[in-house]
Amino acid sequence: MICQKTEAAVFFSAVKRFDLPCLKEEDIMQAVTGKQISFAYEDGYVVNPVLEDISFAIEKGEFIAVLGANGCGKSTLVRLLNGLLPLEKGQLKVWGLDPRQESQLRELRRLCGMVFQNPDNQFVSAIVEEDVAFGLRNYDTPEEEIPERVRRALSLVGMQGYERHSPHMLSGGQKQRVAVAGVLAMEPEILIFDEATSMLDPQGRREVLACLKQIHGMGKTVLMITHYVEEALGADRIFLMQGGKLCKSGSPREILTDRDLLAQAGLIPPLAVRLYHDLRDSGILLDRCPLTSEELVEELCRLK
Amino acid sequence: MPIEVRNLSCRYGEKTPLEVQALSDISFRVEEGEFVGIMGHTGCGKSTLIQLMAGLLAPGEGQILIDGEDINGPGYDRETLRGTLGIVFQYPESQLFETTVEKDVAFALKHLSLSKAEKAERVRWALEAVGFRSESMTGLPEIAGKSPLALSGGEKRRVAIAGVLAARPRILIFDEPLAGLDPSGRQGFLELTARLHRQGTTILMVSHDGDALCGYADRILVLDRGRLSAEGTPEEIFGDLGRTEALHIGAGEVRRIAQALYEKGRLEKPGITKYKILLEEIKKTIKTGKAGEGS
Repeated sequence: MICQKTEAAVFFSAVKRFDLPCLKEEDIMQAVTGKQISFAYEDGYVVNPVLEDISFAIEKGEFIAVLGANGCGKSTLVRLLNGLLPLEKGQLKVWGLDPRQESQLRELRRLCGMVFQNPDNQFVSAIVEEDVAFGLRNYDTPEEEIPERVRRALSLVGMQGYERHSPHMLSGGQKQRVAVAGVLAMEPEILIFDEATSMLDPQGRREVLACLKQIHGMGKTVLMITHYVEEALGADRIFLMQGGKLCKSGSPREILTDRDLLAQAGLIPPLAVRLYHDLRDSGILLDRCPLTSEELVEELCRLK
Repeated sequence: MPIEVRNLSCRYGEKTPLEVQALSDISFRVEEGEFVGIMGHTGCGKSTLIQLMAGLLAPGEGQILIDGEDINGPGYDRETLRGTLGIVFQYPESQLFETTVEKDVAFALKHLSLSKAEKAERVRWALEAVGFRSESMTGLPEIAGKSPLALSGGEKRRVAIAGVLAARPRILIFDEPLAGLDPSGRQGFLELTARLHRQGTTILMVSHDGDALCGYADRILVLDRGRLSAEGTPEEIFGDLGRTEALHIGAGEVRRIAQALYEKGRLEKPGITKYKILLEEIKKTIKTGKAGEGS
């Protein structure tokens, strides 16, 4: 495995929390709460509504996969969470903080880190350790703390030993893991992966997913936007988005075995689910709809 | 318009400490109208190969012949190459720059001697080909008037592809075109490529997606650390999963399910790589009642 859990635990328990007396208790029960959020991009005189009246709550420590067709508003939604886009309509609390409050934005961005799609667009330095330290320096972290935090973050993503490498010489999976380390060094509570695996080869995807599971295992709240349904299988809940609306949230089994629901959202179910329905359409009925390929094989073997 | 690659080698950073041998002695041939998939682990040289074929990099050694002519030969007119070959690079959306989608898609048509009406028709066709439906009012998809920078990631991708299609190249090269597309976008894109392929366009597609290439490619080339390590039909490449693993490429989900069922005696036919065949074979096995008898 990428690293040992104990090290992770020590790392994160050592984090000093800021005192924020303004918080009410109900605010800190949830990792994220959104109420009636709407958002539109303005392009000259044209207004393109992207999010319409979205409400949701994410528990602390939850792993949420966000699915939806291209253009349904997934990236917009997660960009509102850490104030990359300004919240216009509705209410949002992220770890008890309000992205509308200029004074809370800095802390909010530390608490809610993001990894993007393109591994090549995330580097600002020519050396891995400098890159991981970039956020820390921006946050005036005492210089003597930086090497240790960088070292821990890199070992959490299994990239120890690459401190002096050039990020541009790494593989796609390694680049993304360095990007994750840059976020982890900030000691965040919420990590957002915005299609962070979609540019990677199968090996790179496995590396980043293992890293994500590890972070979730440490009790962090994780949001992952993905188009690979098999990546969503391990989530606690799936948010299914369609045309700017959150059309359903539920367990992976609930959402991914529902062919009609997925078709409505412009998505195609996992292969096992497709086969189940295509077999049913030709008169062959399995006892239950399988979610994974393993379950499908199991179901087919049970047929007399 | 066959493509022939002969003993191609390419090095980066030659005679520096950072010298990397990106490709070593690669030879293959792509027939006119063929659909060829290119697979390989990150860093295997796929993107280098594509840039060489586009004439964007000069090879260290070897030749690339398109229609029998060496594209790096002294007398070769590069304009011919630009008119024949269309390339959709990785992250093509980062190349959008015009103020509207319509202008962006029309950009490559500027140097073609087409009338205004023909250009407009090409833009409409290209945008429809990538799945944007035209409005009856304007005769163009709604998206044509938007700024390309205001689109979502997947929409940008489709617009960028439309920009390449508009010039109607006879050879199309795609570098990881499926990354970042949603499942129906992926399906739509594959159907589009299949359609262009049926119409006679030669297609080369770099992808990690075993299911996609098995479903659509005639032949697959596998690169491994700069060498051509295997070449064959999807069935030949993925028939033996042990060998597939040794080639450092991933088999698709269809192939893996087929293998699991075959090993459990639930399929008679070994080595299935295509969804439709898998479905038919499962039905056949169940209906003939053979299922389970063997185990």
